[in-house]
Amino acid sequence: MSQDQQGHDEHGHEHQQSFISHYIFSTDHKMIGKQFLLLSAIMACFGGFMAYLIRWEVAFPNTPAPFFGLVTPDKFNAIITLHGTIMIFFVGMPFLSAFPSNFLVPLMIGARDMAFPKLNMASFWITFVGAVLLVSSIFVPGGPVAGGWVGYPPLSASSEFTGVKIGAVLWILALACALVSSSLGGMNYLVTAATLRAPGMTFNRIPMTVWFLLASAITFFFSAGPLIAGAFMMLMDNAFGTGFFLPAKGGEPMLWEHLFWFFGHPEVYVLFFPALGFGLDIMATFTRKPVFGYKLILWCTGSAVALSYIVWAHHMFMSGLNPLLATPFSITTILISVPFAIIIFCMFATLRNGAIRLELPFLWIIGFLATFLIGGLTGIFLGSASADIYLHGTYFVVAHFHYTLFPSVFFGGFGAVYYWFPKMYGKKLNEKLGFLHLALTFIFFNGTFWPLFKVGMGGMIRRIADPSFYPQYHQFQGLNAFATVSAICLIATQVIFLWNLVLSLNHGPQAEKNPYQSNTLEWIADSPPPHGNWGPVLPVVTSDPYEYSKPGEAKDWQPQATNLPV
Amino acid sequence: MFEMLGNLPEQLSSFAGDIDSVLKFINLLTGIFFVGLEGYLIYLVVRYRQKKGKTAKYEHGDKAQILWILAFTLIIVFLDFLIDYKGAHVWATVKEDLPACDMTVQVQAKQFDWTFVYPDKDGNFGPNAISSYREFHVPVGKKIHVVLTSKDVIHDFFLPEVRLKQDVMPQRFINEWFDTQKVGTYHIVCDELCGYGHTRMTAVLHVDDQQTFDDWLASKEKEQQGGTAQ
Amino acid sequence: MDKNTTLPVLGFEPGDQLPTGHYSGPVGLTPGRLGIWALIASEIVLFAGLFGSFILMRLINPGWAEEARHLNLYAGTLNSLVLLTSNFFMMKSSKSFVEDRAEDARKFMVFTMLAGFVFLGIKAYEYSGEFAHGEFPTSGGFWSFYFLMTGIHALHILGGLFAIFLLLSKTRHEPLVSLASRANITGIYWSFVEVVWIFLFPLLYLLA
Repeated sequence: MSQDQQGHDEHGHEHQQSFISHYIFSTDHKMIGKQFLLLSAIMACFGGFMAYLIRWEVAFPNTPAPFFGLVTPDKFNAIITLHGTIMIFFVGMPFLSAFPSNFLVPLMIGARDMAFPKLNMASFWITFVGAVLLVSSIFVPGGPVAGGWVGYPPLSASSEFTGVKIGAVLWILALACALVSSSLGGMNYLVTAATLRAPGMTFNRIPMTVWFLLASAITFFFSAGPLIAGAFMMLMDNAFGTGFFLPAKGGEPMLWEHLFWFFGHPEVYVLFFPALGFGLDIMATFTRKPVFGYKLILWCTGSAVALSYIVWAHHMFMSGLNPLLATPFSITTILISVPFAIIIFCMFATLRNGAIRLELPFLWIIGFLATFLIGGLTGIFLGSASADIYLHGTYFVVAHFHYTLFPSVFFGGFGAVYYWFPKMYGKKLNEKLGFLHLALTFIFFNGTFWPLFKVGMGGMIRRIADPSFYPQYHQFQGLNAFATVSAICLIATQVIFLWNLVLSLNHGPQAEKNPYQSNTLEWIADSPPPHGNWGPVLPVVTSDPYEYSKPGEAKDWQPQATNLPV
Repeated sequence: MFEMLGNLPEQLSSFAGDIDSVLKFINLLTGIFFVGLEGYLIYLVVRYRQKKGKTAKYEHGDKAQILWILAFTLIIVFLDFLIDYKGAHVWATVKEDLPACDMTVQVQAKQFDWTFVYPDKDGNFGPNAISSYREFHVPVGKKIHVVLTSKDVIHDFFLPEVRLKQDVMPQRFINEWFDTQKVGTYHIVCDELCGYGHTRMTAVLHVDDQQTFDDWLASKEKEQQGGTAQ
Repeated sequence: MDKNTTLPVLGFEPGDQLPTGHYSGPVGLTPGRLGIWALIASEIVLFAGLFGSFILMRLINPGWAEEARHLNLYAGTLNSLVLLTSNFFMMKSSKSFVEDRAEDARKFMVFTMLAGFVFLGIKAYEYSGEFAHGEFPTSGGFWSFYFLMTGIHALHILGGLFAIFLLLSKTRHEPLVSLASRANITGIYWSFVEVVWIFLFPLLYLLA
């Protein structure tokens, strides 16, 4: 992308640095953040293309997909597996956790860099290796792994059931890379926020984005360990023929399900928390109001993190788990909705009595709220064990989790990109193209996944390569075709964003330091911030992050630090 | 959201209606909240957009406001529990309590087909048991006890019209039950990705009247004895 | 906006690693210490996953007790002692860093590493004995877990040895006092690896 050339113009003072130490093996937190962003964009192209192939096959089975050819059942199984793995671990995690944590955490707390810059660099390159392993698995003999992204054994644990051996090993290694990299990253963000805050940056003055990125890191940190252990076992099963998960060799497939979902459910919050954080910051800026219930939100976040570790079995109601366990896990599932409901209501209360500037980042966040709400509400269907007897494994589930993940990753993530873009590159994005991008994304996203609720209610099951084989699903052909056309349009819409990126980086107007009159520290730094962020003097924080519209003040904002010329 | 339930398949078992009523109840509640919350969101954004001469209110959330939020959250929790309370007996009926059944059938799954094994005359699943490949015949109105087991990977036994679903685990025997109320032909699908042929791993559920069922079973037995032993 | 003038004021060349900022953590908690505890916390969750899985499977399979008897209890016990000794040396070395006794610091680090290698040697001897008896990772659930858990632990030992080696080579160029914190952190990690073994040993060898 043009990011590289752009960097050259912007970072004139770093010309002495070699290209490699500046762009490739950089230890600068901002460059590493941008590397994660670029990586997630590239991987999103793979994931998006696979989404298109899946939708094509479901709507128009047994017809060759343009630009690919016929999606046969073996290819279909591999594509759904790769789509899930890529989108969660190599798009969602870098885009929503690693990129903003790297770019924003030091800037927002007033540090010059991460606590462990080299570890930070390592964490990017481990993810990169993982991404390369995963993509390369497409080309190895036997093809890529085809056991579903949840990797249920015995199917995923032995080549005797799928015929895939090398692909499966590469998949687990890629998964392990992603897990290790995110753990190392999370450790770095935590230590940075704990030890490197600018003078005066007390806990009560930390912006919401940082709090939620940390919550995300902690949630990940304590849920990934068991899955890393599970990945080791899966690796040995696949590569060396052990039988951890193979009943024929005395193993237990259910063990993997527990290890996987102990991680898998918190992972949803790992991706949801950052979006909430961006949302609160962006809302405060554009409503010109303090965030409603700052401390209440933090308490809720803490309890949500704690509760996220004891809800996993609601993914396993149909797995042969003791049915008596359904009740306790239903109750914890209900309890975890409490903190999230309060946070969402606090967001509503922040809007109330505001003076809302309907600018682009804000509208992305409203799009995030509006769509995520549907994801949250449909979760109630699936959290009910008795309703799950019917809905488990149908397209209803597909629609539900896309309504939770897509709003977080894309609406929340793009909100953040549009909001912080001037700070990242010193250029403004084109507003008109941005609005178009938002409007079309919103329409086509709903067009893609809303019909799937109806299809799922009709009992159509997921992960079948050939719905034409099922006469009872022929009635859904129209809905499925509609969803597929919407999905193709949704993917095509993202080209607008890429075009906007290229256009704005090359011809966009120069951005000011603080285009939105926002309070938080990153807006005090230059756009883009130089190496070391702050020049000779560190900012000294003198006020809370959201002191907007304070009565009796001349202007309706008050930067958190005042010792630097603004 | 309301029109969504129109796609539900017909109700075959005695508990299908109960499951549907849970779905309908959740659909009603979430539908109300969906309309209310989305409406309120749009209202807030439109009502409080920036106007000349008006500034935002400087508020961090005082006790009274926070109490409002907590009260509203409590209502949601109450409704959540209500949903679970309503669903609990359905769950207990379908999954927890195995009633006295009229007959037992073993359902064997393997990549990529279903075999339904009926006990021999003495009620044993020995060498004389009667196997039916991809065709599941049951007498109407009777309670059927199914014992699910898999030979290789995890499958999932899903009868959409019965509203019964259960993962089939390798080398384990999972007990489920269902009954039927109408004669006809219905669907059986595998709802857990099980490999290359997963997409075609279906079977047919024939609900017959008692006479037809007995005839079918007898003919099946004869066929098996006459042909090569399994 | 004149970045070209602000940076030289600080006395940094453009490529330099800048000091990361104002220190705001609680007294006595360096980023390194916090980092190592965070790392250990994540490792604990990993081992909790492993141990939990093993205990669960062990409860399902009472027959594993018989297989556990085939382990070399003497070698295992000896290894526990070796690792304890190694930890003792590392603590002595850590202390020498604070007291600025370079010779002692290096000597005890070498002892620590020697003990670490002896541990790995004994482990390799055990493995070869088990292979000779026809017990491989594929020889059943217990052996899969045994080789996986001891293998992951051995990897941690290797990692720790590497960290100690790096520290040792640094003492040639840097004053001891500036490395004291690093020595402390390395020591904490080495103790953690020891503690994992303390749990692993009874779980595998003694639960027969």
